[in-house]
Amino acid sequence: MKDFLEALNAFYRIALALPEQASTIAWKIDALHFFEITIMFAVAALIAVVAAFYVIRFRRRTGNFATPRVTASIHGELGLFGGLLGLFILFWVIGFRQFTEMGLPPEDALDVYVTAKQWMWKFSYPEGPASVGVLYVPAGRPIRLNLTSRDVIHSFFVPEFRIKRDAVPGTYTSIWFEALHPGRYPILCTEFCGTGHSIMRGAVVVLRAEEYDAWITGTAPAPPPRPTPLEPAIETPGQLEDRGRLVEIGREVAARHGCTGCHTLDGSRHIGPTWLGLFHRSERLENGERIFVNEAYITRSMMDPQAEIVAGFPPVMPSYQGQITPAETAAIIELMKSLSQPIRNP
Amino acid sequence: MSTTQTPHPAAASPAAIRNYLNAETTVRSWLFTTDHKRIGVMYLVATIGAMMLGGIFALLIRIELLTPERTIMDAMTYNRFFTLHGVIMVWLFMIPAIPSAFGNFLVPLMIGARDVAFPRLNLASFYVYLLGAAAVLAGAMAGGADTGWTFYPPYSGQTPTAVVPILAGVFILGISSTMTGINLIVTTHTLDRKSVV
Repeated sequence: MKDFLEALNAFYRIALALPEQASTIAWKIDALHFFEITIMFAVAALIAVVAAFYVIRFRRRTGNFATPRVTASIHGELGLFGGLLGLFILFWVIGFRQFTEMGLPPEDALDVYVTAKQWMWKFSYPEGPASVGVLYVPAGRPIRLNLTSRDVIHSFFVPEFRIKRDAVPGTYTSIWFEALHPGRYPILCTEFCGTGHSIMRGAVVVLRAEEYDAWITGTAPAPPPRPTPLEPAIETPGQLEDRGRLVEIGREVAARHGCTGCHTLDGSRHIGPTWLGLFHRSERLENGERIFVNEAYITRSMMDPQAEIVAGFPPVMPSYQGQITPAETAAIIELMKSLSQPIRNP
Repeated sequence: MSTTQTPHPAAASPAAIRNYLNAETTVRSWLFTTDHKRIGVMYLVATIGAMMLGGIFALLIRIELLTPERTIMDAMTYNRFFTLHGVIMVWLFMIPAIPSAFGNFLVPLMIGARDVAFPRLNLASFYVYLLGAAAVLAGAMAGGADTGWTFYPPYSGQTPTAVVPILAGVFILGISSTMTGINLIVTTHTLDRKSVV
């Protein structure tokens, strides 16, 4: 019987093109869906057959205009009404049990604080480390996510876990899950939040318990991120001449503040101007003026981006005033310089 | 069944009978009409036109979605297009189509009334609809909004796009729908031939 149910679950999951069920709640949510959709298909087919039958059986024949007055028996009406009501109450009971289960995390759940921001996910742990874009969790343990937003409403969605929760500015919302086994699962934003909404991706990296303990205590570094096709790629070092630590710091800062969500490092066109070849270029602004891209312009762009918009780009860059330190701006400028220098032979 | 039948009135050519379409045929007689059938027809034409316009946006969205990366428009334009598609379809087509187009035409017929309870309010509701539609289209000309047709704050309060004219238009369209609603409710309550002596 168990094998039959598992085979049925696999059949439905593949037929409906759903991703794998990678959390403890996933198969339950799917099961309710499969149950409901089967009943609805059966009822719809029944209605279609009955309607076709009546259309043919009681079609108008010549000269017969009047129809007999038909009233349903009280038993028929009550039976139909009661049956349908019972069916929907059954759906509700199953759904409500799942709803409460998803709303009440177990006592021993690990807390993670999630901040959604246009257009990135940031994670911080009570034990200390912070992460941008990648949520590290151990397998087999319940994790409670406390979600908030820095600007507009976002929504945290991991399809393989079947969990979704809005991240609302000004308040915390909460959702919990338990991942079944190690793996890497994409995070998507599922509440429209502006130009970068569809690329606001992240990843849940589920580690084995020992690996997670090593990471969170700082004993071992995090496993190197291998971006899936859905995540925006961050340039890996080694292709350009190494100008010292500040450029590497610039890359980290650019990732941490989400710059690479809009500005590419490889010349490809995106929401903001690419940084490849940007430094010391003469750029044309929206108002027709020409400016020379130097340290001053780059810093002004970070503090008051709406003042000097490059022609052909949308005015969507947020201000980093008060959010980025002078040392970080210097690191970003050094990074941009490194992307404009010709590669020197060692 | 009898073998001889008296000529049915409808057997005469429909065009020969005086009806709501041919009683007067001037443009003035349509634009200043208080006849519920004519107002219903005007609403139907307007809402079908709105459906076509919303449909054009839908087709452009579908063309953009043919490839994963940019096909014909960038992200900001795409956001404006799906917002306009939603706003036009919901407020200029879907909501007025049932009560204002079909309701105005059919409800008096269904209850045996000569017209709705407030025929001039009915005409006014149509012009308020046109005013609201004009405001929405003015917002569309000004670039449209990029918030989605649900206009969720805080994003809708932060975006620099043309949210205000579109929302003003939606508000005016709401006034038009309310006028139609009051009209039909009073009509069904007071003009129903079976309950009114």
